[in-house]
Amino acid sequence: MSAAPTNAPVVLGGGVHPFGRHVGGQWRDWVRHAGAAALADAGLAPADIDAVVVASETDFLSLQVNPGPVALAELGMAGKPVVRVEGGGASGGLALREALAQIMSGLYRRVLVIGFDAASGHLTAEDVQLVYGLSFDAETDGMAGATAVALYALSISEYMARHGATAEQLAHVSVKNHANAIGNPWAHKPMSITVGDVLASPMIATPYRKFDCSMASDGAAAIVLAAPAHAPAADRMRSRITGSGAGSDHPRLGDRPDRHAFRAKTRAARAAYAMAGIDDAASAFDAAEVYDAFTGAELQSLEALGLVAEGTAGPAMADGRFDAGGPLPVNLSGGLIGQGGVPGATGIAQAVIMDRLLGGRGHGDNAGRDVRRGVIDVHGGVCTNAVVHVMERVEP
Amino acid sequence: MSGAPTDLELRLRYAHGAGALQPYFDALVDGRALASRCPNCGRVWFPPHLHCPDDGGACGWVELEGQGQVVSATETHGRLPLADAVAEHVFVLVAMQGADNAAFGRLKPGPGGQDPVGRRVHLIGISEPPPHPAQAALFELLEED
Repeated sequence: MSAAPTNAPVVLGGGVHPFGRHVGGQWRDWVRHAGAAALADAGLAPADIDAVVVASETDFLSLQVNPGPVALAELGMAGKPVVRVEGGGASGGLALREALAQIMSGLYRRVLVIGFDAASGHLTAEDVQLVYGLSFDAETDGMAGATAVALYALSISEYMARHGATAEQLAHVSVKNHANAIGNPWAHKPMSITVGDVLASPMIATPYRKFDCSMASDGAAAIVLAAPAHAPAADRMRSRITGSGAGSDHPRLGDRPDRHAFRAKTRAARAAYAMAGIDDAASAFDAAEVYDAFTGAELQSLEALGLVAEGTAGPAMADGRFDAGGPLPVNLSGGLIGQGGVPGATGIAQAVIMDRLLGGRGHGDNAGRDVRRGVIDVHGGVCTNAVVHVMERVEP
Repeated sequence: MSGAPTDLELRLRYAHGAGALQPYFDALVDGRALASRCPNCGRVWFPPHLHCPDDGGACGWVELEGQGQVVSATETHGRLPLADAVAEHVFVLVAMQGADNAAFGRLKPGPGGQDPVGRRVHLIGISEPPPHPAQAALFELLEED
């Protein structure tokens, strides 16, 4: 029996506008599509929603300052309370946490959480890289030339030197996540590749090659949460969010005592697990959606989440422990590497994916998979801020 | 449904200040390592913090000798912010002698081919004013290595 809070919010429904490169597209359309899909999945009308939380990473991407009210207008919800949440790559997860707080505090009964970003087809890749370079300490590091891939590379280099992880082990993450994305109708880059393909792909920033890197994507995701007392009856399995935790670390990678590890995530996970009443994370979950901005980041995240002992994620990955058919499948969606990376939407899409898995409604071969409890995880910067949620199945 | 995109070019011009970190940047351009020390925990930060991020202590300035050791490195290519040219770069984290953290910067281009991790470097500054003074975080391998 779960030790989670009795007022843990129930997921009523979710929807995603496919992640991809939508040149000529508009974020408002994606928000309208994802929001409508979430409401339809929940069996609700806009009038049933008390408040909305909107997540997007930066207005440099969308060219829309204060997007919350604009999103409401697109959704037929003008006039409702709305708050915008931003925390880099953690934006969607932090928006989920904001909605959780709104519901558990009793402020609102039913909240729509919606996230988006135009990270692929709007600006050039070089300009997106420049904007993302300001995600760290912009003054001392970003303006000095730090990019996301450079800082992640510096972190994983220390991890590999310390733990003996290999490029082949990192490549397994890419192979797994691209393959998991096959059959996911929302995925940006489903494909079947080999470890050799990853190791032969162009070098971006040593040790990271092209196929070690996730993509910046366009898209949107939405989810409807409700207080248990205000969740309409359902004849299908649902899920609820039983744990939520957040943490942070020094924004300058060089200021951290442990540059090889994601300590912000460990802090967030511990808080989420305590709330959910979980003592042993390594045996607690049937599935995980983990923030794989780069292949090595998935290894670092798995360890920070306590899903595998520190320093052992590489061999465990290569042994298939986290494969779709393994004891703990990780990133069945494809993760950022296979499904794509939409900073404002990723954390919300993870919750939608996990809700579908918990409800027996996973995509493709995942339909009917017996998932009773899962963990989802996103972070901003090089895990400068992290947010972790635990989700559990609710029987009808 | 998507139509043909409209080509927009947004130009933003900032009168960007460094605030209380200005002395650090001035020293950096000169090739000097101006750090800060926390009066509470004694930690020395380079790049500096005006207030200790761990305990909030009001830090004072302290100048380091300008030498350190590379603790991590990555080779990449691209354009530095606000720069015109695409170039090869070796970005490094350097643990400066006398500091408790590590600094992000670039390694001065050299013969290459050798892993710089573990090697000693010194801060050399920059002769041409960079687009942003943070780009003066330029290190050179010490010859005795």
